[in-house]
Amino acid sequence: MNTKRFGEIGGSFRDPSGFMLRRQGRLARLIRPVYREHYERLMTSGLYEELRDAGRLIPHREIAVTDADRTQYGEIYRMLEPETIPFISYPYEWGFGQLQAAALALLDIQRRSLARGMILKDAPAWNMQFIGGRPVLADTLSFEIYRNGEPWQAYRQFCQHFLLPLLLWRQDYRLTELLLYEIDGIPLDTGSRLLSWRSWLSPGVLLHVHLHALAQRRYANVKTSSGRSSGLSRNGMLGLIDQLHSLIAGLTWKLPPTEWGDYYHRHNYSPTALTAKEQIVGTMLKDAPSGVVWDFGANDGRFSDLAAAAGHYTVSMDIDPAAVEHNYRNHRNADLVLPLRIDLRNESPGNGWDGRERLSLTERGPAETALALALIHHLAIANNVPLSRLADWFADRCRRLIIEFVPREDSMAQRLLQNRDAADFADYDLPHFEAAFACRFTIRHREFVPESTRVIYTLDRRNEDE
Amino acid sequence: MMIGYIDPGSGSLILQLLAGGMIGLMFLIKSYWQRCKQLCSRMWQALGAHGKH
Repeated sequence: MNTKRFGEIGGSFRDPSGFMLRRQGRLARLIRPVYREHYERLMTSGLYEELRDAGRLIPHREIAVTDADRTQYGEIYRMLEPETIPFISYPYEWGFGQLQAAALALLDIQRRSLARGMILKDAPAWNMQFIGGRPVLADTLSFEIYRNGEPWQAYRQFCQHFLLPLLLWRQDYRLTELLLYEIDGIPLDTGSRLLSWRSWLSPGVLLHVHLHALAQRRYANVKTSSGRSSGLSRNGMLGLIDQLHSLIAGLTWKLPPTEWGDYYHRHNYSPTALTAKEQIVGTMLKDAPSGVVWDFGANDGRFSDLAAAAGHYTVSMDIDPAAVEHNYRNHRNADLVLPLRIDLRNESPGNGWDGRERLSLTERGPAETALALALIHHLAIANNVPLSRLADWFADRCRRLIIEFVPREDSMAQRLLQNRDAADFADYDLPHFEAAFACRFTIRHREFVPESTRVIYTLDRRNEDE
Repeated sequence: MMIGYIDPGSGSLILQLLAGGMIGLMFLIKSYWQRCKQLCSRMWQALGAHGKH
């Protein structure tokens, strides 16, 4: 993970209550004295235990603050060591179901907080993280003491980060790519304009998006009076949360018939070959060192399951939103599989302030092991990436690679070549593949898949000085 | 009003204040309705259990 000069983590500087840092090789959360009252309430009201036990809030332990910490960071109230999240992911990488589950989990946290006299002071989607299929609030400093009559400061942020992307997703999932460019969620006015006229007929969308956007425009320069204490009643606040919860829980996304959604019913493996491939890959995964596995082109996660069965936390990446949705629905209760929507041709970049608030995929690596099954022909043929560049690409992202070579003669590769000049891919064959990858990897194991033209390798990345 | 570190947006706060009364009333009615349903359901179950004896 990327760190700055003093060990501070790039994405946690905005909140004056504290920030994340790397300390003695471990992640820690520093709390400033200004947050003392709120932290004490969180810990003494029973809210922390309740949320932790419900799996809603990342658990932490308090650790000693040293003189060196104070010299380096100034005034410190507490230092926490949060439980490690195996892989940090961002809302623009989640499927529809994940964004919906994260939104509902956040509203549940808000409801439980209100019952114990606290409220969420912020609600950006990246405060939620997934551990397998479970959304969890990763920011312990998101809570503050609730004062009756106060409106929800994070209402607009919640709508921009969760509600609008979910509504736009149902219209055209590609609209949610706006989340990549808009650091504070999709602006209300933009979202309001992009939604179809039918959305005006839904009372919930009308209030929380369209009227909300109009109010933002109408009162943009109005200073809200300070000291006002009788604004939004407690029932009003609970009603707002309840309305948002009902609206979001009722949203469904009808999966489009996409190229990959039905892949395993359209592949070219015989039953014997498929069983053999599973055995080969399963054995290679059992032999893999412990650590996070990145499954590139995972489809619905069939082989991610093998990695999880071998005890590896597995990030199961695919470009296709329908495949990711299938994958998430299959792994909603799984602890070790995290489905993500990643376009390998155009991975998530580093973005936000200084390009470091959200990390690029590469910065979140390297993975201990990567799986690349039935993938290389798509990158090499359909996407025109030379084999040598593919070898470099994989070497930047993993220490060990389990990769399936799909030769030109394979019917799936033939499909990609049917409208292409085969001469352009003359060096796309097994000897050239091995030669290209030998520059960056050593071959540990090689297996031919029976009743198939395919070959599966275990490769170990060479040390840079080799 | 407590000032947070994020800008809540004046329109967002004003909308909550304007719509809050109606939303609160609807929530209250919904809560009482649910309590009513729970009570009726419990009474129904109790009657059913009593009838079996």
